[in-house]
Amino acid sequence: MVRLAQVLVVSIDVLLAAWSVEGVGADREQLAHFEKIIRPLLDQHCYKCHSQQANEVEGELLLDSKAGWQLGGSRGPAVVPGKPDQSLLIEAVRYKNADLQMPPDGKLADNQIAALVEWVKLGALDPRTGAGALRPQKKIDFVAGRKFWAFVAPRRQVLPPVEQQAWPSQPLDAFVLAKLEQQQLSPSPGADRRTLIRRVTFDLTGLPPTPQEVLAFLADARPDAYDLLVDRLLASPHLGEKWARHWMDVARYGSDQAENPDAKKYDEAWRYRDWLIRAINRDVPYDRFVQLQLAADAMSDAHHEDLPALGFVALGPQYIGTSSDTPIVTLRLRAAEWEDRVDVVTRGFLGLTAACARCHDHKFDPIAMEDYYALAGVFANSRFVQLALLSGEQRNQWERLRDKRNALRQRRDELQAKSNLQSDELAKATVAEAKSVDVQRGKVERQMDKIRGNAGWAHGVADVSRPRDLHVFRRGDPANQGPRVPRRFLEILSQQNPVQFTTGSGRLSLARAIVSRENPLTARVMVNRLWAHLFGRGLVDSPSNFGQTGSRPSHPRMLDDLAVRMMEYGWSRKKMIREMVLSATYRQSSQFDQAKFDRDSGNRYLWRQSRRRLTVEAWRDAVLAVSGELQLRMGGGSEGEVGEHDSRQGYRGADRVEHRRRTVYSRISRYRTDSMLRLFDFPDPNNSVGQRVQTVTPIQQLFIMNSAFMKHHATRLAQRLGEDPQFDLIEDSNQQRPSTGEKPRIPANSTARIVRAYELLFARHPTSAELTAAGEYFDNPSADPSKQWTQFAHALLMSSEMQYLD
Amino acid sequence: MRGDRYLTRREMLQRSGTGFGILGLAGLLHSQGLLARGRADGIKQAAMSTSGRPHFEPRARRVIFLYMTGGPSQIDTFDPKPKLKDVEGQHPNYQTGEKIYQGLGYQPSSFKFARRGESGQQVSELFPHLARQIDDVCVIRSMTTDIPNHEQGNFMMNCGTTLPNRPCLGSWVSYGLGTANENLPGYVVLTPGLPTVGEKLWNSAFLPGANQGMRLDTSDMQIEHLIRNIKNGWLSADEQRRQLALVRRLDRLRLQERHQDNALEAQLKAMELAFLMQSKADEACDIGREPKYIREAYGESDFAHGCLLARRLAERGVRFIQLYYTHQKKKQGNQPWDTHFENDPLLRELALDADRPIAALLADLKQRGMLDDTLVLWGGEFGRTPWAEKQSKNRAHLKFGRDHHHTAFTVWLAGGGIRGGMTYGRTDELCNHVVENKVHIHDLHATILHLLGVDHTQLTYQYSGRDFRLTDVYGQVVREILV
Repeated sequence: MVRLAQVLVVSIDVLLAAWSVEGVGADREQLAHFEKIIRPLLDQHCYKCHSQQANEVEGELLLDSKAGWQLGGSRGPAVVPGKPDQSLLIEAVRYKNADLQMPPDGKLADNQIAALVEWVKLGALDPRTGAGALRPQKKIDFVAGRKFWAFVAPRRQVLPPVEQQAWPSQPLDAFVLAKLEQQQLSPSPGADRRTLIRRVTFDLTGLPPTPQEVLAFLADARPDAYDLLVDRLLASPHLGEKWARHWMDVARYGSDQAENPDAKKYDEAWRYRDWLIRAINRDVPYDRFVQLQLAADAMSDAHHEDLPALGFVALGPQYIGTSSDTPIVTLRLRAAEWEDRVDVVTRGFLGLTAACARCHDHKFDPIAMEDYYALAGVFANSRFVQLALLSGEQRNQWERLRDKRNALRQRRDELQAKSNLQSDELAKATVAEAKSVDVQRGKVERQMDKIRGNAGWAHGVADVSRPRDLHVFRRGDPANQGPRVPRRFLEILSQQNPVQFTTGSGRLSLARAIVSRENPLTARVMVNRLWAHLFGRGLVDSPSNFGQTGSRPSHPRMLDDLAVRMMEYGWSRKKMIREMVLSATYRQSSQFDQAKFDRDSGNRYLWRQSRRRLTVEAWRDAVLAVSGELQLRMGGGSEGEVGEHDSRQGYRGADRVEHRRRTVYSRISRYRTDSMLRLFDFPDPNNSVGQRVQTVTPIQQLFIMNSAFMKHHATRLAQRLGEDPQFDLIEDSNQQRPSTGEKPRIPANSTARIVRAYELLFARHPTSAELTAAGEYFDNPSADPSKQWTQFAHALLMSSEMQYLD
Repeated sequence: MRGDRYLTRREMLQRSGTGFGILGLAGLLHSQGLLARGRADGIKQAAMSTSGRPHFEPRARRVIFLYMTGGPSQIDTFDPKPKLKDVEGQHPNYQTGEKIYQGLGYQPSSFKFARRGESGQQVSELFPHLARQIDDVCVIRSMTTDIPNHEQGNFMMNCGTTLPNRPCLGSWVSYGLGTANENLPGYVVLTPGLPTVGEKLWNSAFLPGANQGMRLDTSDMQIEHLIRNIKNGWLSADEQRRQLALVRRLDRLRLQERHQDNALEAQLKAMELAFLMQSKADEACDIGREPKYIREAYGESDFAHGCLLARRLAERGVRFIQLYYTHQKKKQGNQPWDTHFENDPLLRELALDADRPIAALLADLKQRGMLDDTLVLWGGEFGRTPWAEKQSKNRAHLKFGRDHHHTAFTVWLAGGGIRGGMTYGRTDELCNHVVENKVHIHDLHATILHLLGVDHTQLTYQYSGRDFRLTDVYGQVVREILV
């Protein structure tokens, strides 16, 4: 310590000597004051967070140079020479303002504070040079950034050569097989027909195949029987119900607000869901699908039936404030809403986490804060509206009536004016005429209302009349605004300088930029989502994050080839799904193989099909389907939506037995997310979700064991099994037909019932071991025979096979 | 059951290995140490950690959070402001950035304060029972939050953000530490009726759903009403055992065909746990098993039942218990401490109901030796203004009330590594602002996690491209209040 002190003294003396050449005596004194007291004080108490050496500079303020406090941090200059009371530095060390107390770990001693005050009062003499700002902020290097795989445009690929040339049945199979061979792996044998029809029916429609469908497929000897099956399923209206729900996870679909179920309810939210189902069934090209959801209102070729597509934006959360909020609080809430919109758009369509750039440049991906505010500005200039869904004819009709009403209004005003000038006698007649005009007008208005009422309306968005750009909010804080940023697309996805959005809010321009053929991400992200739903995980295992922190593709060439071909096939998702489910890769068995498992336990190289858990929707729909309770009526208002929802208590969810429709038609509340759905990993509708988390918990099992829902459906299933014991069975090459003669313990006529149960639930016959197990279960003299079938049916519904796809 | 309280850390780790909460699919595949960084959206990693391993030796093994929904008045309870008498009726000459002033001027408290216990901490006459335990309590008078609205305030206190889409404190704790009792959930919420904002307050958001709080409606203490589906109403235990044996047998037959199927194993295990839970949860939740003198000490009300149930659950290894002070049927039952009008009579009524069970809970934990490693927390989403609120015309006849106040309010903590008998932080003489040792809710959260052995900067979960944590980029452990 002695040595250090000496060195310090020496250096000060040298400094002082140097200074004194030009300085005057007073300065010299101040300089000594600075060097002896102020500099060590700043060093000891401030540099840790406010110097070039700091690990993380707080408040963007540097105190290790004069320029540092002159320029100041996020709150402005830290010192006003000569004016301690106006200096933030002094305010902070005085500890009087609870929001600004420095150093954070405790107030300085009184004499230290006094020294700082004195220093500022005397003009804050400071000999320290050095930059006032942080090392110039590392600018994002977009040129280097574009070299990252996800930002390189995908290209058609030459099919790789493979040894097992007979195996590939679709282009994609060549890519899979090449990888397998490279890894010294080989594909699994194809799944048997029963497994296959159960798998593909669930995957495409979210429903189990009926026993009749299974039998028909087994009996179909045509060489292209499977292709025909797939085409039938692709044409099924239930396809849309299954795949719309996948998109609803991404679109964070919900029909109310998390904070309060009565505030800003989206009573017509179901129209967006129905639009999705129709759009998928009609195979609306994905580029159009994207544009309609962002800007149907601005597209000249959009049909009135497409307006509900805007629900993608319009059903987003709105955060609730109160009338006594100051403007800054209100602005913070709006800013949080823009973040939701930017997040859902960029993760949903682009697989980019641009919302990370709200408070600072993205830490991993080439996305600047300016990029964020350029996009946020698009949504800041869009407002929520109710859009009447008038067809062309209805609109003409409505407009004719509107003109008529306006004419009547005018006539009424004229009469009013006239009567004021007339004598009493004459006025009487005029008033009488005015009354009849009123009556006519009332009639016309009722007709107008009726047309609108019949047409219905949807939650939508419209552009504000005078759009304005946003300013960057430094550190995400609306109270701390930086430069204005024009609305435009992300720089990293733009060829040169990003094109500015000048029409309206810019939603349509944004949508066009997203679906541009030049955009390297949009098609990749979508084919990867399709893949993930058919194979259990994506080729990129983070479907909404293709950035640095996301996964790298397991089969990059295949992903690119699929992406490009989807665009070439007119952005058809059905075509891509078709190729995927027709592939030999998809049709593999999911059987275990020790040697292959040892090489690739996670099945990254796709040496088998993955055994997958059904989503809660598919599982619930399957329970209803096999119990015979399922009603397949499509579309319309959601179950549990109208008059069944009390704001505080008693929300009735997907597990009530009166709800007999497919799960996709359940009301989805952000305030009280359906407890049954949530129990089985249904995502929180306040966030966009690209991939559901899967859990297995005892609470789920309690539901399966004890709920009224399960009891009801087990009872119905048991009844159904009993109603038609003479079920028509046919032999099937894969399964030994069980011989009833050897199993005397099974009640007479019961084997057929058990077989029927297996047909219904699992699209297969029971094995003899399973029949034995069932027989022993029934062989219980103390059991109540009237209850046993229900218990047995319940047991089958509980078994894991009910929840999994092989 | 007493044994559960004295588990060593090693035993606890062993026992929690099969964690109640969840047997994650991927978690089983690569059973990794908990508190590793989780991620969603990337690797399909289900699980919350099932083997909660703290970052360092915890002081608290469990938390009981007594949540005074609506925002209790600090001025009438733990932060006396005699100076308000001198300025009664005068308007404050400042403005916060968040709320437009709509008041009738400063309003002194009508309640008498006295120094209580050996520590001499100030407690108002509203809490005579609690006053006797005050030497175990650390009062923080210098709390602040961001926005004085119920929605945003509740989200901030529970989830560390004003937005409704982040996981709550209890879910983070459950995710980070798992449960100490495989037959009970790691995170339980007790509330008669629902608080404002409701279920989103115990939401796990992007954390795996098993970390969601399990809510028990304590307005009806019958087990089948408390926990949904805990009882099978139509099978005898024997019949159910036979039925489950059949399911197990059928599943095992499938399992034979499919080696290495961890998901199937997990499912079987979960079913066995569920079966056990039926009787264990029944026992845990039955406050009728408590001796008479204990029941009398807590008293009889929904809140009292909740306090007693909280102790039973804490005793049995539930890690995070949050007790919302709400009423099921009463008007304004979702936020009773929101005293916008009739401040004094309402507070009298609320304190009369809450004081005794809270004091009984502290005493009960203490005499069982549990207070040392049980953190008890009392507070609401914010405090109340030192001025009276302007009333709407239809309420003009009512007695004065206080508005939401976020720039200075009070919470208190006890047990679990907290230094009892101290008051921390200071507000100005009119309670407008904090003037010393400000504690933001992020700091409170950091401190709670610290007491549980968790470094709040290390408990992260990757979602939407970045690591999220409860305290965002904020939070300082308030070391001065630790033992």
